[in-house]
Amino acid sequence: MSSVSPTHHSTLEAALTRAGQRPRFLAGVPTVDRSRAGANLAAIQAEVDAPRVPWLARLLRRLGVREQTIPLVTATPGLRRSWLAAVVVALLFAIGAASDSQAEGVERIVVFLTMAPLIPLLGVALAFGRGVDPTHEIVIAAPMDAFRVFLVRAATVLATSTVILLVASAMVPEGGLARIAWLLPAVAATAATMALATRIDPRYAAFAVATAWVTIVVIINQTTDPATTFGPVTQVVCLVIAFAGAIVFHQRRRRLDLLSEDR
Amino acid sequence: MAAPAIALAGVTHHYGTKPALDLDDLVIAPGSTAVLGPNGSGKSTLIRLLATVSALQAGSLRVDGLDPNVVVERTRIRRRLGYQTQAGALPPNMRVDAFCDYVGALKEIAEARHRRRWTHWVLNRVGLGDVARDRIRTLSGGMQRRVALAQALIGLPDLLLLDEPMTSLDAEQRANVAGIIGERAADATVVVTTHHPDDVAAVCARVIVLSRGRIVFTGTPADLAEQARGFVWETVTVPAGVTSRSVGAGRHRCVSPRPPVGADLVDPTVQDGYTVAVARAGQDNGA
Repeated sequence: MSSVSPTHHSTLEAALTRAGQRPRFLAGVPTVDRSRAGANLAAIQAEVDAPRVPWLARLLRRLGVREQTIPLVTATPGLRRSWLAAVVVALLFAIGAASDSQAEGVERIVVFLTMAPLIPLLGVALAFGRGVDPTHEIVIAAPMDAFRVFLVRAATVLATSTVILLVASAMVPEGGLARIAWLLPAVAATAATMALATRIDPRYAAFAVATAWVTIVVIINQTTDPATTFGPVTQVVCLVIAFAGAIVFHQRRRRLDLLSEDR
Repeated sequence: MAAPAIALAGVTHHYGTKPALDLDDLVIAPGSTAVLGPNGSGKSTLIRLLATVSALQAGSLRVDGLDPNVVVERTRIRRRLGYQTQAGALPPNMRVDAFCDYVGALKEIAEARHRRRWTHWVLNRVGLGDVARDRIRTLSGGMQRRVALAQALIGLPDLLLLDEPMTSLDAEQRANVAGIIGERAADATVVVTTHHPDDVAAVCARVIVLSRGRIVFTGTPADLAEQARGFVWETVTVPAGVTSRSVGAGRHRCVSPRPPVGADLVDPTVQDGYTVAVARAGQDNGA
C-alpha cells in the first residue's frame, strides 16, 4: 500500500469523503454511514502512510517470527550499532592475539575462548533494565509479560552474538572443534545473568557473572592446561548451570514485572 | 466497561529508610483528577503505584476492585492502563511511528495493521502526524512529551495515568493536551500530576495536593482556590519577605495572612489555594 501515488491517494480520499453524498441513481438504497466512511478512510490512510518495513523486520517475518514479536526484537536496546561495533573490535583483538601467539593448540586461542562468552553477556546487560532502556517503565506497565520481553531480547542478542562469534571462530588460526568451546559457557553465562537479573539490575548481574567467569578461568589455567580448562568437564558444568539458570529465571519471572528496586 | 475507581487505604512507601508516601484512605473516582505538589512530594511515587510498576510496601490498593499484588489481577489492570512516564522515557534513536508500533505490541495488539491504525490515530490526535517518520531525538521537548502522551493513548485505555504531561509545552500545546484529557475523562479515569496549578482548573474536576508524601487537600479546583480566600492581595509596592508575582500594570499579587500597605483584597485562584495549602502543611509539620 505504501506505493500508492499521491494522485491516487487524493482521488481515493475524495471518493471516500463524498461517500455520504448520494447520487440520484442510489435513491432508495440505505444511506452510507458517515462515521463508518470516516473510519474506513482512516484505515486506508494508515495503510497509505505506513512506513516501508525495515529490512530486519522483513527478514524476521520471512523467518516466521510472529507479528507481535517483531517490534520487540527490532526495539532491543542491546542491538545498538555501538554494541555490534564493540563486539567486532573485541573479536578482532582476540583473533589478532591468537594469530600473534607462539603457543600451539588450545593455548593459542585461550584469550578468544575466555572473551567470547562475555559478548552475549554484555548484550543481555544492555537489553533490559531501567539504566539501559528508557522505555523500561512503559514495558513493565504493559500487559505483556516483562519476562517475555526480556526473553525475546536476550534470545535476539544471543543469536546475533552467536553468529558473529561463529564467524570469528572460523577465523582463529587453530584449535579444531575447541574453537567453539565458548558456546556452552556463553549460554551458561547468559542464563546465569538472566536468573540473577530477577533480583538485581541486569548490568550488575552481568558484571558479577563476567567477573566470576574470568576469575574461574584464570585460576583453573594456573593449575592445569587450557585444553582441560575448556574441556568436557567444563562443558558439562556449563550445561548444568545453563539449565539451572533457566529454571531459576522461569520460577522468578514475576519479579521482572516490577521496577528493580522493588523486587 | 465502566471507567475504574481507585481505592487506596493506609498506603505507605519508603526508598530505603526515607519515607516517600504516607496516605490515609483515598478514593479516586472516574473522571479527571490532578495530583499537585512540590518536587519530592510523592506524586511520581503515587503514579508508579497506580501504574502497578512499583510494589505496594504497606496498605492496600484496588483498581476497580482488582488487587495489583495478585499477578492475574495486575495484568487485568495493565490491560486497561495507559501510562505516560516522566520526561526522558523515550528511545532517542527510534522513529516516532516505530515507537508507537512497539508500544502497541507491548499492549498485546497482535496484528501489525491494527497497530498501524492506532499509530496513525494517536499521532494525529496529538498533532504529530507530520513527524511520524522522524527520529525521536530530532523532536523538540514539547513534541517528545506529546509522543509520550500518544503512546499512552494507544488502545484508548480507561485508566490513563499522566506524569507531568504539560511539561515543556507551549500554550497552544497545553490547550490541546487539556482537550485530550477532558475528552478522555468523559469515559475513563484520568490521573494527572503537574507542577502547574493553573492547568488544573482547566483540565481536572478534582484535585489532590500532596506535600512531603501526605495528602494536604482533596476537593474541586474551586474548593482549592477557596483555601486562599481572604489571603490574596494586589498591591503596587511589594512588602519585604512576601513572595509575589507581577500581574501587569505595575501591580503585584501576593498571598499573605496580613494585608500589605495599600493592598486590595482579590479573588483567589487555584495557584493561590495551592500556595496556601502547601504553606499550611509546612507549618503543621513544623509545629
